Amino acid sequence: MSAATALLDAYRAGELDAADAERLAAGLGDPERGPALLGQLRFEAQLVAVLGEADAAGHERALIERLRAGGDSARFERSLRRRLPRRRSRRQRNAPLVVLAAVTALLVVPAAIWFVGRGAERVPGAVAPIADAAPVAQSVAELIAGSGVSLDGRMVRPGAAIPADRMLVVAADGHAGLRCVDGSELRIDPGSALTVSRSDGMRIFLDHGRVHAAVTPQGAGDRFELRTPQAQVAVLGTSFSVAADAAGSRIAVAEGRVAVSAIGGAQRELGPGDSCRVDAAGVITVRAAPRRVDLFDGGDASAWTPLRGDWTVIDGMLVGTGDDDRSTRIATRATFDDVEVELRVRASETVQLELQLRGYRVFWAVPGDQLGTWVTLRASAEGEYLRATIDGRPLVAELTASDVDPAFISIYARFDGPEGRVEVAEASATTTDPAPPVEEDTP
Amino acid sequence: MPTEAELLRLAQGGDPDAFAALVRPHQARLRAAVAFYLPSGDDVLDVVQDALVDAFQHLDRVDPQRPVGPWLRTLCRNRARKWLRARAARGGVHAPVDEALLAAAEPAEDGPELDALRACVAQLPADRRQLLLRRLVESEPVQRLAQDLERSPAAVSQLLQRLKQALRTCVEQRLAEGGA
Repeated sequence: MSAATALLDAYRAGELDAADAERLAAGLGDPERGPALLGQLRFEAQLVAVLGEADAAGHERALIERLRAGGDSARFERSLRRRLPRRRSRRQRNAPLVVLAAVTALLVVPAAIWFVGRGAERVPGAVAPIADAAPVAQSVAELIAGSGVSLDGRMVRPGAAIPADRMLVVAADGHAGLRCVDGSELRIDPGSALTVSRSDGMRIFLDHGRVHAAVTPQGAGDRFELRTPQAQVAVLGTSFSVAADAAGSRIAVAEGRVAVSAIGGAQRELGPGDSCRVDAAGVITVRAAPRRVDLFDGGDASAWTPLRGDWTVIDGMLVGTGDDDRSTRIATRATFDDVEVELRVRASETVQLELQLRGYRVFWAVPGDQLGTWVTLRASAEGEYLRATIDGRPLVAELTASDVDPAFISIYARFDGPEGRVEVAEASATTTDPAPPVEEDTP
Repeated sequence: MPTEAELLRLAQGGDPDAFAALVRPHQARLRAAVAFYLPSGDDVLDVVQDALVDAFQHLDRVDPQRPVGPWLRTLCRNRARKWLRARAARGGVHAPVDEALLAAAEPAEDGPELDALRACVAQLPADRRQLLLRRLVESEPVQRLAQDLERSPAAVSQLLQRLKQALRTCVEQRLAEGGA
């Protein structure tokens, strides 16, 4: 196996370490090696798609079930996971554990019978570890994925019930996924240790390591809390990660809001994209992440106003065609100060594409071999600096105004044929301006 | 057999079964579009289903005169990129790879390769298909597969690599011969 292919395989399986991830990222961005790696990735994506047809009927039933439930995500996830093909290992298929588990269930307590039934409903064919049957009545979570996971020193496998206040350790080469009884899910990185308990909501204590949490909305009076040796994070339905070691804790919020309390009493609230560090002295240092604004995501084009030519949404793409002068332009309704713009765009019969932002103009003279090809155009204006790339390659840009005041973002294309068009599949702006962009009249 | 336009009309009226039938022919392409960005098979299925629920709730945006496939693919691809972007923003070991994938050129739409690959996969012995599925779709560790097959992890990795290479060769041959 080539080293690059091995890295891709490890990436797909979630087994990359940091050094390998850097090597693979460098390979993907390399002009010589990148295309072959991306080709292999595309082939493997097709293979995943074809192999996934093994349970097409089950996936379709799950989809219909979810649509009938009004798209409810939590209910869907449980039903989908019940229907997903979970193939047992040969050892599981052949082992006498099945008989032993049944006998144990009959011999012990009604709770064990309830557990066996619950297990069968959860994962068809899954064999419940015998050792986990008795304490399940006090369980606060379930191990839904993982390897190298131990509970109070005993190895446990996916499907195991996790009782309250027992130390769960993930080995340095392992990983784990937990689903709490409230439906919240935790992904636990290698080399982590934590306990789970429940009292007016879930309580997680992360002794060390890193946890990514997707928290379900909490009921009245409940709240989800994640503690580290230095900090306590309380959330009301969000997605965030927490890392802890002896020197401090780092909290990063992907969605929703969390309240962070340092052991010393300091408190801060974090929103989406924010992160903070809590040091051993209880000092909280917040770093507000840039705020991302979806300008077009395949459906809603209300962030834009056409200025020249014709612009319509077709097949999830914002499509611009030319006027009599064979050119077209569209601009955002809002203005932006420091901003990074990302567009996925495709042009045909086009000689030039321009992106204007805050006094700068980025030019892309479309080469013939790039016509009809999707490309990613990125441009960031920060202070007096502008950087622009097309698929990672630098682009020519110029300052077109003497000032760099907040301005509209606009896309301009000049065509060289009657069928010229520019298509935008995705557009976003990431701004460091803490205030939402102000809706203004179009220029 | 109802036409796509008929299924779309029923789905726009709120019929989940009609919607499922409408998207059925596109499912493999949608999964392939998402799997390019997402490493885990479980996540691929989740993202595709999320995108389809979103599509069902916004069917009023669909022009009945146009094929629905490109619109579904755009929704799935955008949702996959959003998923990857969120993961990259959270940091962690995979962040550099996630960023590199987001910056990479968009792959071409999956065309006849999928049909050719489907035919090639069908020729594999069942235990080999199962092995690929466990590794690629279910992301099972090589060590566990090696235990089950009573082989060394290195031997299992080589076997997986040979299987993938054989499938690529098979697909190329079928496409060169002009059939799937």
